[in-house]
Amino acid sequence: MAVNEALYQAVASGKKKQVQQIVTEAVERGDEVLPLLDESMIPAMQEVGDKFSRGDAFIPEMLIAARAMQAGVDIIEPLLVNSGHKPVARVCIGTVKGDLHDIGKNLVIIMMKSAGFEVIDLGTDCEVEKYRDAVINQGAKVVLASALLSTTMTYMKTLVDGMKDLPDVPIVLGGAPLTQEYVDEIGAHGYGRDASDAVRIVKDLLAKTA
Amino acid sequence: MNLHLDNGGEMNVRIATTRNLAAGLRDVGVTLNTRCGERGACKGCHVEIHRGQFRKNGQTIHVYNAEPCLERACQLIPVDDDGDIRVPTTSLLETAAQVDDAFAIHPFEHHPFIRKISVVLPLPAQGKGISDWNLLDNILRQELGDGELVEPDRELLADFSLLLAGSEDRRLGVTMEVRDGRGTILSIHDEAEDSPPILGLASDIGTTTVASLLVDLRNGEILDRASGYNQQISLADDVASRIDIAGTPEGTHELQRLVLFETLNKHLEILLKRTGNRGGNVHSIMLSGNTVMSHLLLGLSPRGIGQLPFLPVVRHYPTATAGVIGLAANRRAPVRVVPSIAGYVGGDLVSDIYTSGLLGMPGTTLLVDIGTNGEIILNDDGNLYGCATAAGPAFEGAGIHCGMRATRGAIEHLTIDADGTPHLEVIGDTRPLGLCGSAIVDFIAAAHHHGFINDMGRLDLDAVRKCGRYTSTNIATKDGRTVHAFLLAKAGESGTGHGIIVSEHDIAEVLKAKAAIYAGMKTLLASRGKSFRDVSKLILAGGFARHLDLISAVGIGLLPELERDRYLIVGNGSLAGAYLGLTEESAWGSFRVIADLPECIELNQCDEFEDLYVEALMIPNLEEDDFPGNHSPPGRKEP
Ligand code: B12
Repeated sequence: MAVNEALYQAVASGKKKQVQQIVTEAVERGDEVLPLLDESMIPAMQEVGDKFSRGDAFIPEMLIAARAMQAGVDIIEPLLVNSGHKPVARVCIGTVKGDLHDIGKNLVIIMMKSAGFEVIDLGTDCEVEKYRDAVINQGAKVVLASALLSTTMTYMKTLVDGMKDLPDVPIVLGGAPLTQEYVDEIGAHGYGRDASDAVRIVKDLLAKTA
Repeated sequence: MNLHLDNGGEMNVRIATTRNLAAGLRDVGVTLNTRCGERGACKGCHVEIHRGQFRKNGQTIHVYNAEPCLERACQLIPVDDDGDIRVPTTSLLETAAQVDDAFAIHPFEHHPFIRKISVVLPLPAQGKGISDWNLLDNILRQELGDGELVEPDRELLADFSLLLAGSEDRRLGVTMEVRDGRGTILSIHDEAEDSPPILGLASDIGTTTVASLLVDLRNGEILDRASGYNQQISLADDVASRIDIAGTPEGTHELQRLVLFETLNKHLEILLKRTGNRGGNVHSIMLSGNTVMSHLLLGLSPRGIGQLPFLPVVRHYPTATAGVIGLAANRRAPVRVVPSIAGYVGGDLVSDIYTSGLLGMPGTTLLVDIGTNGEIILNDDGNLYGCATAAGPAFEGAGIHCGMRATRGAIEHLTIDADGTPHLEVIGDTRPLGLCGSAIVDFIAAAHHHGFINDMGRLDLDAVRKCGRYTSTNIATKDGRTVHAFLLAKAGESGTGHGIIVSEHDIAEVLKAKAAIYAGMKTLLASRGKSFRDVSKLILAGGFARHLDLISAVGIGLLPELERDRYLIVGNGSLAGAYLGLTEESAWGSFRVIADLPECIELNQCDEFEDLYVEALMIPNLEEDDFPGNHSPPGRKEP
């Protein structure tokens, strides 16, 4: 199946209701769902992400497109389990202890999914144990963490220190108050300034460890 | 060292080579905005180095005949006293803050708390088992209608004894504060002397600015006003960073010192001097502010407010005395702090609720303080609900490339013609130095209206280029990326020698802030099954709202499209509350009741918030429900 132009446009321009409608209709018709994701929705989201990286799109557009895409993914995801969809790798992400800002984190999730990753969403307010559990018991290969408050940012050091005995699992950090310097200083492996950056860095780190 | 100041003036000054450049400049009277506490974490103290040699992180940088570079002054240590530096206006911590201290209050009856009584102490025939104090106590209790009298302290008794010692006829004047039938003696003085004035101080303690009123407590008259920056700003400019600093005893103590001694005592000094009074005449002090400021005033560490679950130490503050905390007033003057509702919904909101009359309004009414924290209170048929929505400081001009506070030289309002020509209204009628929040709101509304900005906040580059207003910048972004911008004033037209621009990055910052406020209001309403259609009054509190153009605010989707008469603008309700707390008998009791009324909700626990936030990022909104465009426009704010 080729690109579903209407679906591509609906995601790229953030038309949530249209996305839901097109996807629901396709599912009801019995169309294969994987191509809807792989050939229309993901490329649309990637285009928005690329535009964002070039400075041709801003947070509002990203969020509106991501929301539209999420609405479609919500319908498709349960069906994917049976369709033999094989992810690039499994990663986990959560906002650190004390931090409830998850809009940025959710955007990172959508971009990671768009790049073919399976993402374990640990939610908000995560203690070190939660990340460790995702690695040890659920097979996450990379740990991503987000913080939006200068007061919770310091917990990232606690996280890095608490993961020292799992040196093969890279830790990637992001969120508005962070800087590359801070991330280097506390000894994490990567810093992403935005959601597309997250994908690039995770890919780089996995390529290095592979 | 040669200094070139953007707001006019060249200076040749000696700069210390032992301290960082920001500290050195401060010594010679050029105070930069070191809002991160000289930690190199912000760009508040950016200066342009044209020539010179500095040490930075252990390395030496030389600038000679090279491109000038932007550096954080707090991170540079001058190697010698030779150099050329340009100081942009946006890096200056303006010394004359423009503070909005205007407010509207409902009429009230003046019931003063302060009474002055003349007494002649009888001399009993024999003194068994009684003292002079017993005699005075008896008289005053009668005066109170059998009320309670607070026990005297040693200092008061000393004054009393000395007066009696020097008096032939045992005549005394007593000044007493009476609240709920309970009397506190403020001073005992010579009755024969001219009755000294009985004054009070009311202050609104904002994170950024502080406004004070000197009030004659006998009749409620406002004698004079003073205002300026909250001097805590020299350590950090946002609440979160102040909470960080207050994590240690030294930090808390320093912040308390800055707000009491460097801010409030300075106001007192000015007010007393101008009105020809003495500190001893100030008998009552009432302070209103957000929860963090209220804690710091009393030397309580607000640390818990910085982390989940955002717990304040107390909500109802103990009454201190001026002498104990070190305010330059009568040492026995009670210092009251308006109680707080929650960690992020403070006494300023209690004051807003009280002064706007929100409690008595029927139906569904909403009160919003459009500021960094974006506090919102909903009155749903007599039940109060509250939340805070963390909009960030974009409306104060922070984080905006040419943003500045509403001081002289700031563009306060603007319009744009269909051909892209801007018309600027500048405070102080000078050349523009930058824009304050209200002008950025005007810009986005007007540029969107004429199609220069699309619904996502992006510039239509062709349209902007066609009218010769296109430019770009890379200074405002964290990572040096180039962003498109609209040129409002060319370098030759501005007071800075640089163009005044609004970049796409700036627009995105304002959209995030307005989306937070709008989604916060809508979520709070939705939590009670209500929408803007049900709102009979939308009350706008806080200084920013008074400068905001309502048409523009609706145009960008910060506020819903409602008829003009459904909006009520109250101004600085926090200062009004402090004033009424001093002068209106029922106020203090009401504050205590109001602080316990609202049920606070956490927006992040409301599923719809994220959706509504994302929708509100568009101009005016992805959902058109609240912006049908068919109401008569709300109309400009009244003068
Ligand atoms: C929306 C919002 C909220 C919402 C959050 C809703 C939610 N479900 O997330 C609500 C209202 C609940 C809220 C609450 C609070 N907030 Co708030 N909030 C904001 C606001 C307006 C926008 C944040 C946002 O979502 N941005 C959009 C997203 C997409 O951007 P982002 O998160 O930065 O993510 C991008 C990158 O950083 C990166 N990224 C993010 N995570 C990761 C992770 C990885 C691994 C990587 C690689 C990249 C990456 O990619 C993303 C996409 O590009 C900001 C102010 C502003 N104008 O920015 C304040 C702000 C963040 N909040 C602030 C504060 C203080 C609070 C409160 C403490 C106060 C309060 N009033 O109650 C509470 C705390 C709640 C808590 N414990 O976390 C402050 C923080 C100040 C500071 N210096 O710490 C801010 C800056 C506002 C301010 N200046 O006052 N807030």
